[in-house]
Amino acid sequence: MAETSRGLAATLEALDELGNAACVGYDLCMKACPVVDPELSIAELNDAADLPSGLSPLARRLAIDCVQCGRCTTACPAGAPRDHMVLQLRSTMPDRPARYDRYGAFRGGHGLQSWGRELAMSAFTLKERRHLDPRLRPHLDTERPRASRTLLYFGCYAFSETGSPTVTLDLADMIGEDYSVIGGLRTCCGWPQYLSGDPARAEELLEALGRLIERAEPEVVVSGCAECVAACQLLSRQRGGSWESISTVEWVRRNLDRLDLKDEPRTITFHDSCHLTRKMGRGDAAREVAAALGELREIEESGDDGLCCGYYNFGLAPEKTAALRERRIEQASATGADLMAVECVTCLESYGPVARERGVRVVELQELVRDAARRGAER
Amino acid sequence: MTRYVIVGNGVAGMAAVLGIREHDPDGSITVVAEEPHSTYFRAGLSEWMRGTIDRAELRVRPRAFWHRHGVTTIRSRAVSIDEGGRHLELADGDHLRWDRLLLATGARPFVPDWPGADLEGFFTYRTFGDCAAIRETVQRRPDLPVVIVGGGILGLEFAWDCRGLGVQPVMVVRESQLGHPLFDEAAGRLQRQRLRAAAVDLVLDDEVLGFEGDGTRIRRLVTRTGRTSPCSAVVAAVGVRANTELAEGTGVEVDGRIRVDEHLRTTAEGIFAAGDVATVWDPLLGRHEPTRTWEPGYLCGRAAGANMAGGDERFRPCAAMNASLVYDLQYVLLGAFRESDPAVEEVVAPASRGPYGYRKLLLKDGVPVGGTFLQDRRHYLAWRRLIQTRTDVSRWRDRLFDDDFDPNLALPPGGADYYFY
Repeated sequence: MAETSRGLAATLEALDELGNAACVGYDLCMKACPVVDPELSIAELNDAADLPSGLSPLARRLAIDCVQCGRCTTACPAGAPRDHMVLQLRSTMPDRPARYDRYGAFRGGHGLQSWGRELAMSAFTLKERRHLDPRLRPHLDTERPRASRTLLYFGCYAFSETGSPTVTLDLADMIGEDYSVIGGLRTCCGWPQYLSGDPARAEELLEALGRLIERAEPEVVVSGCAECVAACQLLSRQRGGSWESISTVEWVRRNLDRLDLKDEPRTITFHDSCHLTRKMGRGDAAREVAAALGELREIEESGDDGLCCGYYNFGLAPEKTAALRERRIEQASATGADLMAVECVTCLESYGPVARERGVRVVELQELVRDAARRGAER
Repeated sequence: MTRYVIVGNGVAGMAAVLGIREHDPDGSITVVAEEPHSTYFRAGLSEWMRGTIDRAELRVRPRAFWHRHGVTTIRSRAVSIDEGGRHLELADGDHLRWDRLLLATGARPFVPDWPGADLEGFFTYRTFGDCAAIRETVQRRPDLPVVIVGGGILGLEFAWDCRGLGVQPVMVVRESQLGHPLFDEAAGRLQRQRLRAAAVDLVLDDEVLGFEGDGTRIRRLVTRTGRTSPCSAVVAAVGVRANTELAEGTGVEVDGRIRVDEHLRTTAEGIFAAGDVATVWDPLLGRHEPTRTWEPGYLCGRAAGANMAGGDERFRPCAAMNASLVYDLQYVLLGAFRESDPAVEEVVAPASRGPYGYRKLLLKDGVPVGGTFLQDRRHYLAWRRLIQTRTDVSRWRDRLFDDDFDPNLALPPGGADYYFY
């Protein structure tokens, strides 16, 4: 008799147990971690996993500082999923920082029955509306998406000041494919909640998103956020696998022949998304697209060894994440490339301020494609 | 108050403490340990040899662990069990009373009867003491090579250590391939290429005839084909034997190892066994199997502890995973990775990442039952889960190793499990 599948919380628990049981003490996870205090020993971390109530100060620090980049797990020769182990600590630790729940509550539209929250969300929506592409407005938090083969999913980044949704919509029009759109705060994928250590809330949001996607009957769900891609992939598996979840860059790669790209001579370095490259093994598409746009120069700490932008620290260790971003921008400068391309909107948001300050251009790969296609159309 | 006695402080013994305390916060726990160290990571010894971690980092749990769980540790050797009287006799003549006894005595390296194996400078590779002595000996004469006997995982790991120690390894292997019998010929060939590229001196298809010394110290290897090599030390890694002596002559059934059921019970009342000394029923393979590696050692130790304290935990070693390094290449072996059943079909990836990348799955009636991954271990957790859930993947038969195929998608729908990596 086959075992049945588990829920998100149970999966996390199982991975946590495996992360502890499989640990054989190579210590490579600790060496790969970009935020751990070197004084924290594996013994202390494993002990914390046995007994989260007795979390030592250093183990607690790691649970909070962790950026969920997964480098520890890739580095472990014994295959211990250490990032999940730390996530379980985040989930079960006493006195969890309230910030995790604030993020989950707000972004996921948690507790909409509360008029206070409703008001806060409306205020946010009004304030952030200036970033909203007017083409997105009719689809915002829609409960009845139109059925179409391609579903563009913007989640909470519909409001992103990076303008990422606009680029995707422009490309969709250029590609000339029929598509429908979902997005908005209440259409959250739940992955931020999962990464904040709240698998139960994440599962609720996933469930709601799953129902919504099914109404659009898509074959392909496209998102420019790596965590959304990961969540939609999980959803697809949960619900029988009727759609494929791909990143905007993967979607662009599939449609390159529909775009007349006029590239300009330039050098590009590429910053990998932790989820897409390391966790899901999908780093090739972006490299292929980058190579179609200019000369690709690999940055230090790339591919499976990629450095995280620090977004999913939730701002709880601002000094550490700022140091990570500084390091990345320095590495990008060292390549001598004209710009650093990213494929996930959270990376783009993370690097925005420091890149502007340092005069380094950080841009979404899909934006480069759009601009090259525009030049192509003009010629 | 129940008296728990655990013989052995390896990973299974340590995990049993956790299992006991989940169910019984008050019972007395006594651990009888031969080695003068708290439980340490054996695989981490390799990192310690190379100097990348210090001795304190080898500890599996902090010092406070033992005190917190109220564990008394006795540094001694258990010599006999009195089943009826429920006593354990120790080498110094002391007796310990037990209500529940766990045999977690582990295994020891096997050493053939080679002439010269009694010379100074002949080592096996298992304990902290072994590694400390090896390190000191080889570093005294870095101008001389070190002989490694055995081309299995441990031998390959030590070959990698030699690089860190700055000494040249000479590896003597009885078979014509490396990694035997865990790896198939193709994976063994890739390992050979890796070691040759790293200038490891490989002596394949040959055997040790004996060792010669300059008086008391080992200084020369002689093989059956007449090959000789000078050496500062010899490290033998040619298999292990379970430490079953304590169980012999009791009601505990021993067949090379101690046979236990899914609850880790031996055939003697009140006596449990876990870890390397035990052979455990594997429902996936349909036979008793040794646990062999650290992870099932931990999990069965924990389950044994829980059951000793009145719990009801089945240890199900389905889809056993053996994952580590051969030389500097990551590998993962899953489930029945060397199945000889003619109904089992081998599916090898046409291409894998890295110059030594190799991926192979074993399918039986469309259901994955095992796998081998070298250097490229993409989606290993999902494959492991598919083996555990006995999921038919026939629908994806032609895409299993495609770059854009995610085996998570083949997991049974309904739950949330999705394994990244």
